[in-house]
Amino acid sequence: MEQFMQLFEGIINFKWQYLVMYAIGALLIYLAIKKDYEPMLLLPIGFGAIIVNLPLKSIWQYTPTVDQIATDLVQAYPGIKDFLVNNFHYIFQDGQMLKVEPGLLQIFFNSGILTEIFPALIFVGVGAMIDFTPLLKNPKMLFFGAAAQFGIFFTVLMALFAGEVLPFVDFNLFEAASIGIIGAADGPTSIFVASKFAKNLLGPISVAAYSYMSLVPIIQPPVIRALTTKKERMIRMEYRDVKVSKTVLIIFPVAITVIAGIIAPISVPLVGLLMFGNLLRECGVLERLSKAAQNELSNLVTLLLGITIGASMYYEDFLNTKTLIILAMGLIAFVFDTAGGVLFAKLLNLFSKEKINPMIGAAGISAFPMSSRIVQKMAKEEDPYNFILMQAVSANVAGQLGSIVAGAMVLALVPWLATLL
Amino acid sequence: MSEISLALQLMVYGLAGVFLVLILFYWTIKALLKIFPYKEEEQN
Repeated sequence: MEQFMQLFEGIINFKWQYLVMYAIGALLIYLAIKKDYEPMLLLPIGFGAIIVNLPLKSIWQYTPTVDQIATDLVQAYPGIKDFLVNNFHYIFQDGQMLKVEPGLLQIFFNSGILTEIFPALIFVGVGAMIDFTPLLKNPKMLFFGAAAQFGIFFTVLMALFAGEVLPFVDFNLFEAASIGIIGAADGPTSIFVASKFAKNLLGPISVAAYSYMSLVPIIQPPVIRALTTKKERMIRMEYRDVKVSKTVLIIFPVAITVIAGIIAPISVPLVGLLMFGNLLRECGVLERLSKAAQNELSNLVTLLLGITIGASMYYEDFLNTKTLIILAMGLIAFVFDTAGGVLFAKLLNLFSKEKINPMIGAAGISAFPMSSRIVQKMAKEEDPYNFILMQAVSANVAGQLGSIVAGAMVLALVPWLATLL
Repeated sequence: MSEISLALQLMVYGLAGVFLVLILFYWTIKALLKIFPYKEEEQN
């Protein structure tokens, strides 16, 4: 009879919460296909969320089996229980040690995300795709790439404040920092930081990061309008076309890696691999490798990253108030990033003779090229002959650097600050 | 020290750090453009 019942294991072990997760997965797939919201990530994440919430979770782990030797050992030496649970895929249940071998997607998770290999490889691909020329032509725009990271740090504060006022929320500093980094508007950086500080929140943080990145055209315009006057939005900016030599384009990634590595050694996996990808692009003799990084490598890793992140969305970890708070905090991060950039530009205008269109500040977030396009579109709405796209692109590229540097700052500062608690 | 005050410190040090690093990048770019100016023959 017992063997007969095993035929219906899937039905017996079905939980109603799975249905909610299927709806969430389906929504992500719908947004990816119908609305074209970051389809490369949201579709695999949506499918991963469905596939991991099937009865017995077999894509994530094999069925637990009793390990009698481990059980005897734990009975004799109770102290080793935690060691086995934390390091050797055991769970302790009803006085017995059960061995749970990792399944396909957990192996990807352990070897690709916990080791940071997936986000790091994505950086190589991203680096190979970025053209830093607009930034090199107009390096002043770097400061907007710094100012527009304000949302990250403000959101960390808000996440901890939420813990003070809402009794059902309890984020520690590491979790709050991982939530704040959604404001980097840079998926791989968010995943990189969350995989170090809050593995348990990786699913909702990734979903929030990629969802809001695709919603930048909806989030930014009202914030920009609220903080600027029509007259400010009509400011025209002179564009000087500075020529950049090939030598500069080649030395730039190497110099940035060395500087970032000396100032913030923890940033090397982020900045170093981004710049390695960029060097492949700019060196002029490795076109095949550059194309491979931009296409095959990026595509393959994105595919595995997406479905693996989705597989971390098991209902027990995802269906809780923390997820809702994280989604709300992600929105706060994007809004205050935009505000930080715009207000910084307005501040500079108080002291500068050559006025800056404050909308350029909003393009200092990392969402490339959406943010710069929005800024140009808004400028054109106010004055059809105003062309600030090139400046906005420069600020946008600066945002890509700024977000990575901000991620590195968070990685370096949070462990140190936590020791002061 | 409360976590809120740590978050405030993170904001101050973090933003200052980002600005500092990007200022260094700014001067690096300026120096590179000065040392290796664009030459017309590079057009090809």
